[in-house]
Amino acid sequence: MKNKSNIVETVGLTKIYNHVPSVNHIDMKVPVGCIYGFLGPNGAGKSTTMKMILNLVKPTEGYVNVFGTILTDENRLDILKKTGSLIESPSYYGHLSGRENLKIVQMLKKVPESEIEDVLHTVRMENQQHKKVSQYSLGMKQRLGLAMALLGKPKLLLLDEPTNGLDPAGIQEMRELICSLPSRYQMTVLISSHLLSEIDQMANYVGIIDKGNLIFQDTMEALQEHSQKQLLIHTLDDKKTFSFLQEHFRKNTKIKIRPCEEGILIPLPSDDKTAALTAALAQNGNHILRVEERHKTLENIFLELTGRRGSL
Amino acid sequence: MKLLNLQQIERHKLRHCHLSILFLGVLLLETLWIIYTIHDPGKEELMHGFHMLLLTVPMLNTIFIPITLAVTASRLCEMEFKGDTLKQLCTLETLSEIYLTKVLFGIRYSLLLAAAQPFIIYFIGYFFHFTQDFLTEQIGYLTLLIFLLNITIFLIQLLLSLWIENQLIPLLFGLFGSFCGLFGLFLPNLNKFVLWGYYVHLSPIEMYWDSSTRITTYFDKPCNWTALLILLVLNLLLCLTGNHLFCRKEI
Repeated sequence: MKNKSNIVETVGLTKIYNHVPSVNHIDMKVPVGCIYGFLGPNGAGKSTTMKMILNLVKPTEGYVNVFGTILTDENRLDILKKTGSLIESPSYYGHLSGRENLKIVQMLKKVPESEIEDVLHTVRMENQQHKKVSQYSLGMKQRLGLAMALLGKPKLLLLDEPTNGLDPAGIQEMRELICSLPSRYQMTVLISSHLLSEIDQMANYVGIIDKGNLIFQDTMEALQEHSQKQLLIHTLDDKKTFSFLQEHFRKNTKIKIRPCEEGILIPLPSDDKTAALTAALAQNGNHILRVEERHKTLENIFLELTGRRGSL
Repeated sequence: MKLLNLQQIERHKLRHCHLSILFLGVLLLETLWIIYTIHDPGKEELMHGFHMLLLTVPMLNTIFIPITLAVTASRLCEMEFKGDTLKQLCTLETLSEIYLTKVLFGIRYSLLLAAAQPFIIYFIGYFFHFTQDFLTEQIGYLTLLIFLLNITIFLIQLLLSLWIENQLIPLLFGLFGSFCGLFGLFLPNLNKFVLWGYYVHLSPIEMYWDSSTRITTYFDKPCNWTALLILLVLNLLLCLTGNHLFCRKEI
C-alpha cells in the first residue's frame, strides 16, 4: 500500500548480477521533505539502488514508486523531470565552460535561462562559470554537478557520495549547502555515503544497506541509540560484574547493559557517574582491569545490526 | 520538434570541437590533391577530364572519408564517455533520442561531404577548362552514392564508438577500412566484398590502361541504382540495429 507521505518507495527492489544479488529485496521509504541518509560500506549496493530509482538500471525484481507513481519506461522522463541527481561522479563536458554545461541541462529541462544564474549563486560558482570544466578542481566539479542537479528546482534530489574526494573545507561547504536545501527549496534529499559522521550531521532519516540488504531504516535518533559512545568495563569476574550492574541500573530501564567478548558495555555515563560507578565496583569487590571509552564504528554498528537483523 | 531541440543541444555540445574545420580541411585536401595530380593536362586529358575525376574523386574518398567519419563518430561519443554524461542525459532524454540525435548529426556531415563533391568537380573542370561536357547524371549518381555510403560507414563507426569506450579501437577500425578499400582496388575480385571500396566499385566510370600503348580508356558503366537502394535499406537496418543495441545498454 502506497504511503502518500513517502516521496520514494521501493518494493522488493532487487538487482542480480551474475547470479549474485547486488541489491536484495529492499523496501526503502523516503519521507517527503526529509534528508534521507543512505548509509553503507563500499560495494553495499547504494549506487545501484539509486540508479534503479532513476531507472538507469533495470531492476531484476520489484519496482520503484516516485511521487506516488510506479516508475515505468513510459512515464520515467515525466517523473524524472521533477528530480535532480548526482550519481557517483559529476557529469560534465570538459571542453565546455561551467556555464555552457549548465546551458545544456537548462535546455534539456526546458527551464528559464535565468535559473542558471540562481544555481551558480547557490553553489557559489559565479566567478568560475566561464572557465573550462577540464580546468576545474574536483571540488568545483562537484559543485557544478550539484548546480546541474538543482536546475529546475526539483522536488527530489539524489546525491550519491557528493563529498567524495573533497577536502575538509569542501566537505563542510557541501554539507551546509545540502542541509539548507529542504528549507530553501522544499526539496527532499536522498544522499548516500559510507561515512556515518557525515550522515550524522546532515540526515534526519537513515537507511543502512549492507551486501545488498537494507538492515536498518528509521530516524536518526533511532540510529543514534545504536551509535552512542559506550563504556567498556573489564574485571576479573565479568559475570559477577554484569549481575552487579544489572542490579545497579535496575531502576533505569533505558540503560542497556551488554556483555561482550572483551567485558561489559554500557552507554557512556558522565564523568562523575563513571567515577561513582568504578568506586561502587571496587567497593563490591569487582576487581577492575580496564575501563575504556568506546565509540562504535560503522563496522560495529553493522555487526550489531546484522546480529539483530532478525528482530528488526 | 523534440529532435530539433535535441539537435540544437547537440550543436551546443560540439562547441569548441571544430568538427566543421575537419570536414573543410578534408575537402580542401582532396581538391588540392586533384589539382596537383592533374597539374598540366594535355588535350586528351581535357577531353576526358570529368571521366578522370569520376574515378579520382572516389579513390580519394576511399582514403579520406572513412577515417573522417570514424573521427566524427568518435568525437560525438567520446565527449559523453569522458565526462560520464550518459547517467545524467538518461534522466532527461531516452537512449533512443540520444542515439538518433547522433545519427542525424552524422547524416548532416555525410551530406556535407557528399554535396561538396559536385562543386569540387565543377570547380576543377572550370579551373582547367575541361572541354568535356559536365556529366550531370553520372555526377548526380556519384553524389548520391557517396552520401549513402558515408551514412553506412558512419553508422558502423557510431555503433563501435558507442559500445567501445576506448575510442582508439573504432579509429583503428576506420583506418583499417580505408586501407582495405584502397588496396582492394588492386584486387578487383575481392573489392566487392570490402565496403570501403564501394566508392570506386560503384563508380559510373571504369578505366582501362594499356601498358603497351600507355593509353587510358574510359568506359561509361550504367548507374547502379539497385545498389543505392540496397545501401538505403542497409542504412535503415543499421540504424534500427544500432538503436536497439544502444537502448539495451545499462548505464
